Amino acid sequence: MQLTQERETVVLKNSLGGKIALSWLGTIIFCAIFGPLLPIAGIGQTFNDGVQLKPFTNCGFMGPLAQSVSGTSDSETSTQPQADTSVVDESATQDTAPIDTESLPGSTVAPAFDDDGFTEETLPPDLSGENSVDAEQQERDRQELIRSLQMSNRCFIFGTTTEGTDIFAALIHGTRTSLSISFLSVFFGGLIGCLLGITAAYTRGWFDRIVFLVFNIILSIPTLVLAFALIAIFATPLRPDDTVPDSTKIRVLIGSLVIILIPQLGRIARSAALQWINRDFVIASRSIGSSHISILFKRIIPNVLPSIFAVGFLALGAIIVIEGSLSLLGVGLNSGNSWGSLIARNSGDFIDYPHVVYIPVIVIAFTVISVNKIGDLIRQSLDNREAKI
Amino acid sequence: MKKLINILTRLSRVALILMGATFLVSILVRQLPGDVALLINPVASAAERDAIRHELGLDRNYFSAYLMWLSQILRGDFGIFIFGGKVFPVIKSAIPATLQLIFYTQILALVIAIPLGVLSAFKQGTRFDKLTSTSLFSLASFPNFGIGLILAVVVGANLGIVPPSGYIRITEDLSQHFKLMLLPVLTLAVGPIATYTRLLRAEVIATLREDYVLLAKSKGISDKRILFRHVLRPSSTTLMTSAALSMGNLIGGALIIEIIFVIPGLGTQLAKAIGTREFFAIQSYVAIIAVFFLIFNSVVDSLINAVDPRTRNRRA
Repeated sequence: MQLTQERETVVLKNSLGGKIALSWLGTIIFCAIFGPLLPIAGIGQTFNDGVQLKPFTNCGFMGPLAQSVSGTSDSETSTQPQADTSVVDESATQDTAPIDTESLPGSTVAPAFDDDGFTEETLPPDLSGENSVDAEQQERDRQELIRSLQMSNRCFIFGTTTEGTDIFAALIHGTRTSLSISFLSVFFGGLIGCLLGITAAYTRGWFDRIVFLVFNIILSIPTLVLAFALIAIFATPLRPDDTVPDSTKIRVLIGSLVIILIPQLGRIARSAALQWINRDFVIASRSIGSSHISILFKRIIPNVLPSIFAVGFLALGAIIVIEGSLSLLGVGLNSGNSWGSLIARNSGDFIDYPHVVYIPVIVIAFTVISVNKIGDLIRQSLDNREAKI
Repeated sequence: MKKLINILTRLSRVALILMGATFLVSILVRQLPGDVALLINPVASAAERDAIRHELGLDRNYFSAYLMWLSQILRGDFGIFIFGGKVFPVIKSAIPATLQLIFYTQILALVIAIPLGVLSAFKQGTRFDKLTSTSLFSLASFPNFGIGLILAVVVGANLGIVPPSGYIRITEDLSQHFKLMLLPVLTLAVGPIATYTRLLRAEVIATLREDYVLLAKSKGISDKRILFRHVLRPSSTTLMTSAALSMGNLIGGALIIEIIFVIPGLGTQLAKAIGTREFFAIQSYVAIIAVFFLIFNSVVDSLINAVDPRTRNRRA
């Protein structure tokens, strides 16, 4: 039985895990800032619109294909005008079943393209003679698409979704949305929570009681349930057929998550502040006549902040997961514009094309592991400091 | 006498929080866009719409509408679905599925976490310990729905060991029930396993330094006996507290798992109700979930106070 010392002094920069976590976080923050500027596969333009996902727009190596696709699309709309309207609706494209590569014997079934996405329109097998060149072209397109759906190929390193979106590009573009949702909500939630929690702990009395009661009331509804209800209520369109624009949804998401985080982080701030309020140096500061403001800002907040940071990092990870869960539940973003919505949008194709879900899940997991690791290391160094005192 | 007052204050606090939570939900639900009267009867005239709203209590202010809802709930009336039917039978059939999911998860998590925690404390600092803690840490950071989806597809659909999704009542087919529950329970248990193992490890390490462990060791008692007979019980209070308190959190986690694995529990019903804007049903479901959450937490809190005298008179 080893009785070695339990607490080693682990600080962020000394631990390998911490280094890896920090560099991963740095990478995704870099992606979040500059990602939408990168000309990856030319998908930037469509992704910035937020709603439309266009297949194969100007991919570097596949320029000819992209042109041929749009060419096909023209001939398509002339022969089958109804194909044009069937995919305009967001939900319709979202619900398209996975293409089964096995059941696509060349001439009978060919995928059809149009401006809004990729559908499984069946073509009549014997198009008249003048279309034989087109049929050949379609066959090549089909092969190309099937190849691009594979895990990786020369153009798309993570392959594409069945809608033809480059997964790698979608991930990089989704970073900004996912990270800004989690960072903003944790920032505002932490700010308001800290203000309320620390003030409550400092003043005690009726204010403390009321704040604590409100915190408890919000905490008594499970996080995901409350987030689900809040977003469903504030981001539901008036009529069931309408869609809510992404910008509104993101605002509502951040607002709801802030409401959820305030009591979670506020409670931590309150209990941390309670530990410091009766320390000797605070009493000394009060006895020499410092104002309440200066005691709060100079004595208490600097001591409470590290524990808030530790929990805040854990909250960052939790929020990224919650964002994904909400998309999967059908109330979050569904345009493929964030990591969670990328999963939600493609989860129907999971059985045939597992990579469309694996890759975003792994990216989310990596991010959550990193922020958890950082939060954990902050907490450990905090514990060490406390143990020394 | 003092004990009785203590229990009463505790109960009154729970009741207050419960009322606050349900009031909050009732205000929120009223914010849902759209006119209920038009949903019920799209061709209603203005007078008919007013009559419908009056009947449902939608023309009242927040407070009196809440009191109306509360009196209904206390009489056992959980409201109606806008498109017909009562809410109570649905709740009655949904609760067992959710509770089963949570209880199985708890049992599985404890069964796995206790030996893991004790062993990794005993082998503290070795490769086994590091491997366990790192892999559990990473697994617990994996998004819950990701694990669920991957398990459902890989184990359920591709390998075909167990059915990927669905639910059968325990009374109907026992073995099929547990087969169907395996994947959701496994998914939901990953987080708790990591937490419990970590807590237990820390506690066991602290206990191993006690003098009586040294005495037991010097008497020549085997390591296994020391660990599981002498050390485990005094180290398990924190674990039990955490396990009991996480019951409430599991309700929230069960929501998404239920939807992924198509289990007709409260989560699925809630999602369905929100999708179809069943105002009263949403209110009742959230109230029920909050009640369970609070009851788990407060009962457990009191139980721990009764079991472990050290935690008495402690204010969270």
